[in-house]
Amino acid sequence: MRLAGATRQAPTWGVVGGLFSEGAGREKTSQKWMTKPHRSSEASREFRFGFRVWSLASLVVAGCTGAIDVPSHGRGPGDGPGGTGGPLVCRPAAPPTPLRRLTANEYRATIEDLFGEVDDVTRGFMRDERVGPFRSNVSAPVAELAVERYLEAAEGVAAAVAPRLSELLSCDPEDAEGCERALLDRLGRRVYRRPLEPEERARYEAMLLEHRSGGFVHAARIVVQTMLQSPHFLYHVEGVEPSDEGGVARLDAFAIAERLAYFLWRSSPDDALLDAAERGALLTDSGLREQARRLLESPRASETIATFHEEWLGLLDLDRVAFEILDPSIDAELRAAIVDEPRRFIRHVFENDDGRFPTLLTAPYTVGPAALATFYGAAEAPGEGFVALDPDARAGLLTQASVLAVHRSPVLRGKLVREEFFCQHVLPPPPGVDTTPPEPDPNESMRDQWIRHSNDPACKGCHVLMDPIGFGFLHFDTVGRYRDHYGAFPVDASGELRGTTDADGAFEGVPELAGRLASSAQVHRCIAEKWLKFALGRALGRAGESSDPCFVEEVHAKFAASDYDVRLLLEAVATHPYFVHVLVESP
Amino acid sequence: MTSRPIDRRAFLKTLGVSTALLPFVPSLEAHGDGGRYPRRLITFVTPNGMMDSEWNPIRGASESDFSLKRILQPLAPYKSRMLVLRGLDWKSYEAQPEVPNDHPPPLSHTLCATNVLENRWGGGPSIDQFIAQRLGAGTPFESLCLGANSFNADTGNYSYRAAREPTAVDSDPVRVFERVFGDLNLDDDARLRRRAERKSSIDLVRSELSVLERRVGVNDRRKIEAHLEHLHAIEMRMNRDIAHCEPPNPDAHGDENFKVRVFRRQADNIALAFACDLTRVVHLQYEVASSGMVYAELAPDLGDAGRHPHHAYAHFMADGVDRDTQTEMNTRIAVFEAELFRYLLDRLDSIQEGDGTLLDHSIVMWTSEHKMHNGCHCRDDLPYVLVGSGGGALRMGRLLEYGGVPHNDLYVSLCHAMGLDDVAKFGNPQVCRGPLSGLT
Repeated sequence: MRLAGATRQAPTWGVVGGLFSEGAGREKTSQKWMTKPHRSSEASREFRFGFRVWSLASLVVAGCTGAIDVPSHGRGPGDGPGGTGGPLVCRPAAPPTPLRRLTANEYRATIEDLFGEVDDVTRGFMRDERVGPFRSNVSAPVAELAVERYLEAAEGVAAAVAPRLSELLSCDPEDAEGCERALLDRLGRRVYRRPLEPEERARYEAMLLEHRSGGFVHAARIVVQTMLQSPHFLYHVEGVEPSDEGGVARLDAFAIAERLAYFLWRSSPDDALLDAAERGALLTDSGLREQARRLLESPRASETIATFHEEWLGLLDLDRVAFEILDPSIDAELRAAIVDEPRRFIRHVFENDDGRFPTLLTAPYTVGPAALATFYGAAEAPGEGFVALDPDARAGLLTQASVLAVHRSPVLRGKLVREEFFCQHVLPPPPGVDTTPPEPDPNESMRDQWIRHSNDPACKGCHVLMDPIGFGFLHFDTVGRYRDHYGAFPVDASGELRGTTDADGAFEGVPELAGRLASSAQVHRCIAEKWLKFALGRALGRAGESSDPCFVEEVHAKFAASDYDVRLLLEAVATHPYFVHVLVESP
Repeated sequence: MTSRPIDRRAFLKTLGVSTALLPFVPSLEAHGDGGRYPRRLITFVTPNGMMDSEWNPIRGASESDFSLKRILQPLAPYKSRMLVLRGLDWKSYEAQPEVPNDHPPPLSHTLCATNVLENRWGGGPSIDQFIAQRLGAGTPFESLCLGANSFNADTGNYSYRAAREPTAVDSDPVRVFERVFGDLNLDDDARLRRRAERKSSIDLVRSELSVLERRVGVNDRRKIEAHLEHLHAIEMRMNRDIAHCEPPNPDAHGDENFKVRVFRRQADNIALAFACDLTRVVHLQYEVASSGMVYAELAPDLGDAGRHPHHAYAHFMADGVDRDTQTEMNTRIAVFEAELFRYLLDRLDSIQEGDGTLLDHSIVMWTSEHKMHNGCHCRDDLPYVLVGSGGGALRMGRLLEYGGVPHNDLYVSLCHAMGLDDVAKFGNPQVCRGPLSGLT
């Protein structure tokens, strides 16, 4: 087994050779399905939840009264745990995750892991659905056009890869039968993320037979283009172990492997993980932990953590930010540096710094080229791209230009903090309101203009929950440049947090705000909640209706115990029984 | 992988057609029904609202006596074949007061005319999809959903097959061309070979889906069903010969700027897809709501006022640009959209069918998701223009004032005009009252 920690495997078969390592025994391959549990002794009894009844923080800000309440709209049922803080019902398993289709990113990464780099493979794919800020195709049925795009992509990949299949499978091209076997055993296992079931294998054997006269390359091409259209490739299909434990079943080993890999690497399980699944290692706590750690030690996990933060902070919308309009002096090079900055910074925090959540918010440095350093008024970056920032002006992710350019007004910046850090939902403006922001007036301070804008009693109740936070960002213009003055007025960046459980009070500027967020338990719990959404790819259920809030609390507790080490948070999620058990219909 | 581009010029050459002179050659013979030509529908949506002051025609003495203001002026040649409808409100939106008044949340009201659901999902089929499904025309494509500089935005969709089931907007005209006409590029052997291979794949995938369908939970079953339906549709059209149809020239309009080029190529695709009877219903959307599209080329005389995105003008929030200039930009963008629309009409009208043209046998509707009035997102008196009478089903050349009726009612009328006479309600049944009066 190849251990992680090494650099990401070069995604070409030729280089890796043993990408399709020989699997262990085939005994444990029978797939059971979550809705058809079978009674058996393989029940999951060994864990007991240590759930306590948590008094949940009030999670929703609503009503334009400044009060805290449940939203009447604006989010789907179960869009966040909590609600009114009803009694927690803690069952040791989650509702089954709806059948999800690969996102475009997952598709691309999976193809690359299987076949090496393929240009433009997802060109013309639909935009992915989102669960909150996170991409996940969890709800809508596939569109017809998407099915055609899958067909075209599969044909393109198959045509490109077929001529070198025997090399990639390390089989003798003269030995067609040997190559066919390798194709179904090894490629089949990688594409289906489990060994083919006998009837699946039989269908492919018939297909190979039908097209054998055209030679192995020809027949294999058709097999590959078919496999890549299989629902077992395109969807996350999760099987469960047989269970007689009152409606609770463990995911089968391959489903666990799939969850682990797409959670921690945003791609399909590698051979080592599939081997562990076949050995049954993922069905033991220690085996699961070992694999989770292996994945987490890989730089690919840092990339996933960066992806999480990009999605969480709304940076998928960066491509809609017209920097050239906001600030014509930003050229293509600087723009690229701004767009790349969060990922480079996060990579640095996880590869070279302590990998803790507070560091992401408070680090007095960033990573980028000289152009970015200049933009921030910092000392020219030495070769490594490390840029030391003025700790009184800037701190971590919240003062990065990308974040500030996506969330440009004090209102939107306050909303970002309120919703994404405190998991409190602010109601959208009521119908008929003119949400046009005030026209900038150099004869009045920015703060006064915004205060006047939302001074209407109908607006004030909600805005008081956003704007005073957003005022703390007033040193930053719409592209994140630092300013001391707005027109003739010195910037007043005093802000205030209210309506939180443990972070209320005045603050001065973003660095102080960031410090407050970094040490708030409410924020930490919120981060745990966001990660669970990201990991499960679905909205979370509310207290009283779902055990999801219990999971949030347990993961939050482990996050705290780890001193807010993000990798340990991920490990806590990935190895928690809740992550690998689902509720099933009673037999 | 770059998908192998079709060598279109070579292909057209083999047809013996000069690309420069390529005419639109309809090959459609009369379809059944005693020589009647099929009726077609296009729903065309442009985003960010319509500048009411320059859109609203000036009324004369009678409903057929009206004069066009700036935005509709490009459609002047079609004035006698056009209906301008005033006083159609989004009653379905008003009936759902908890939905906020931004672009994205209620976007699906535009064509679905019913409650928007969680995550902004449309609450039912949109009128284009409803009609396409009910027509069951058996054309290779039940409908085409196309975009020009548009896409399935996170901010919401217009076209839905059913509640929570958005269609996918195909915004690359060259890929649309390949998808709709591409099979023609292959010689017979290659085409048959490809069909056989695809059939082989589809058969196997279908077997797996069928097994899966029995195993998944009830909530996921619809996903598998939809996937199976799509495979079926793909297979059906794969097996259909359209050899007597000549495709448009996908390289046309190469000298135009990308906004015009992409739109016109899509319009060409639509016209020929209709002429070849490859589909009868098209949804076409230009741009996206809340978009960052910039129209500096429309503002050479306005200094740098033109550098702001469309959406900024729609809210009168373009920094440093006075209100009148922003009104002017909103108007110019709408005029530009009307000119695009005009090209689509011209294309449809250039293809003869019997005594009339393709346009005569179609209904082409243009709307937007709000009326723009002092920067508010007004959901009353939405802009509606219809061109083409659907083979005489509608009485054209009029400005009709309805004074506040649900836009649902128009969609019932569209159903009737398309031959679906039994449709009594569309969208939210609480607000829909039945067909609009006075259209026929």
